[in-house]
Amino acid sequence: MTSAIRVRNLSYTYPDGTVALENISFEIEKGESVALVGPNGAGKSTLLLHLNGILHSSGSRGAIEVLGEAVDPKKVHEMPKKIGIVFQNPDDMLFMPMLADDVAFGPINLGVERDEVERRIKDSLEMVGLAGYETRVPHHLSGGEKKRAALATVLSMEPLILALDEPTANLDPKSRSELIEILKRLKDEGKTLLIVTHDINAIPELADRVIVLNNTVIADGTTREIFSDTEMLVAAGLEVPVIMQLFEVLQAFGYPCDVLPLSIESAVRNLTRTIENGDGHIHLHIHKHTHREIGYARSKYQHHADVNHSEKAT
Amino acid sequence: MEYPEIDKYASLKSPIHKFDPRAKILTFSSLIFLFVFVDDILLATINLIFAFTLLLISRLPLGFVFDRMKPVFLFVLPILVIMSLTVEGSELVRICGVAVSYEGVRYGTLITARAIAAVTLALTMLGTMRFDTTIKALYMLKVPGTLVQMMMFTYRYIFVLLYEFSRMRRAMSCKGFVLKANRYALSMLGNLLGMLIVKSYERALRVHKSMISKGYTGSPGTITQFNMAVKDYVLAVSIIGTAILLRMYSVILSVVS
Repeated sequence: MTSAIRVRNLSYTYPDGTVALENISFEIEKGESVALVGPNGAGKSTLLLHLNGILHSSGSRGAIEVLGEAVDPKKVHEMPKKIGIVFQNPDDMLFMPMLADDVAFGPINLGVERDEVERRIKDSLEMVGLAGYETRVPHHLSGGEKKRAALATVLSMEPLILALDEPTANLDPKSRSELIEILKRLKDEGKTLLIVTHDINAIPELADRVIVLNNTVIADGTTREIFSDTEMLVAAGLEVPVIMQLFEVLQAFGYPCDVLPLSIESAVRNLTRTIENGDGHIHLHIHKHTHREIGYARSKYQHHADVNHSEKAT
Repeated sequence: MEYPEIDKYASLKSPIHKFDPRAKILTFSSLIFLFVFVDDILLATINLIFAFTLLLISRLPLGFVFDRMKPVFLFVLPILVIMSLTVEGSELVRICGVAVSYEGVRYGTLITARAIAAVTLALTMLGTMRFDTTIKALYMLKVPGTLVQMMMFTYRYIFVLLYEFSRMRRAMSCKGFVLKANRYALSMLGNLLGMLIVKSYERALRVHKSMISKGYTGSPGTITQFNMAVKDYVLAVSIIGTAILLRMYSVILSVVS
């Protein structure tokens, strides 16, 4: 079976000598939804821009294949059919005077017929909940609307793979959940997704697999495998979803939970099952080790506290 | 923050608003060329009146148009003053020992009238259609793509840059900066503008990457279609015809006499 994305020994050094990517290798199957996480400056966005050949230069080494074909920097204009990249800042993606023109920009460049372009404008805007916004001026949209509009400008090219750079960053809770819903729908429709994100709490809903990047791939596994590796996460400056941390604290109170839930949905299922098994009750208690265990569970991911302690120590 | 939107009143209803965008651009551009090459001060004044008549027909709020004309006055009025004081000719009046020549006032007034008429026409043209419509009409009129794209990006990102400028200016105020007429303030303003240029450059690179990732190869297109109706041809011919008649009135008068 042909992979959606195959990256082999990719390295990239910026012209100023900064090493952004070092010997990166991974493979993403068609229909997979993968989260790419890592600290700031880990090379996540740089990696994304290599996937359609935009950033490929003399500083790049290694090979990238998208849908079985090697990415050729000379054929960058052919890549949008295969992979659509949604940039982090929507203002970089919405450059036309009217939203419909922005959504039509990609399909027109791909040589799509006029009627088909009109259908795609309608469908893409509908898909992101912006139906009727065709004549709106991009700089008048709210932050959340801009993010969704930027996604629509890529969806209109109907790429088989979608790569998104921090889609939920800088959004209010409502806009964030709207965007997550759209991405979940795309995932359910079988679209291959590669999502660069710092939004750890959104990952269990959006991705089946997580790649941890810090200039090189330091971990690659299912969402549960990655979030179970506390040591690696702390070393990479990351943490687990809040719901998982809460259930770790509950465990210290004696809550019976072998598999920690990663999302609200699985937490609800877990609680329901526990209550049903406990004849309508949950039994929590405090014993002599409880506070120590709670302290341990809470301090596991507190990076800032560690920094302060070490500063005090010095 | 108020943005300098040129198409704020594009949704009004007037014969100029209904005018086909391509015909409007051609007609108004022709008028501008006809008006700026006028040598006769009387004709320049008539042209100015003609331009204002078109502005009134367009029903654009006069305050909106005059507000956008202020920068033009900043350039034109000094010319009027300098010409009046520097062009040699018969003395009209003497102010504080400096002679104001009749020819100087005449040339200055001519230039001012031409400039105001041209800007009034340009604002009437741009203010009566959405900016995206102007861009699409220019594409259809086969104006070089690079030129149209430069216009488009300038207009699109001027709002973003203004927003960034005001944010940085606010941040400076929050850190106690007060704009005074001294070297330090000027140096800080210089830093701010420099930072804005760096940010604009970096944004331009990002926008370019975003365009390439959407298959851009340098030749933009549009799916919009405009339909020229008979009334558009009639309006275009009437306006340009009137302007040509005005331009040739002296020739006609001499032939008649």
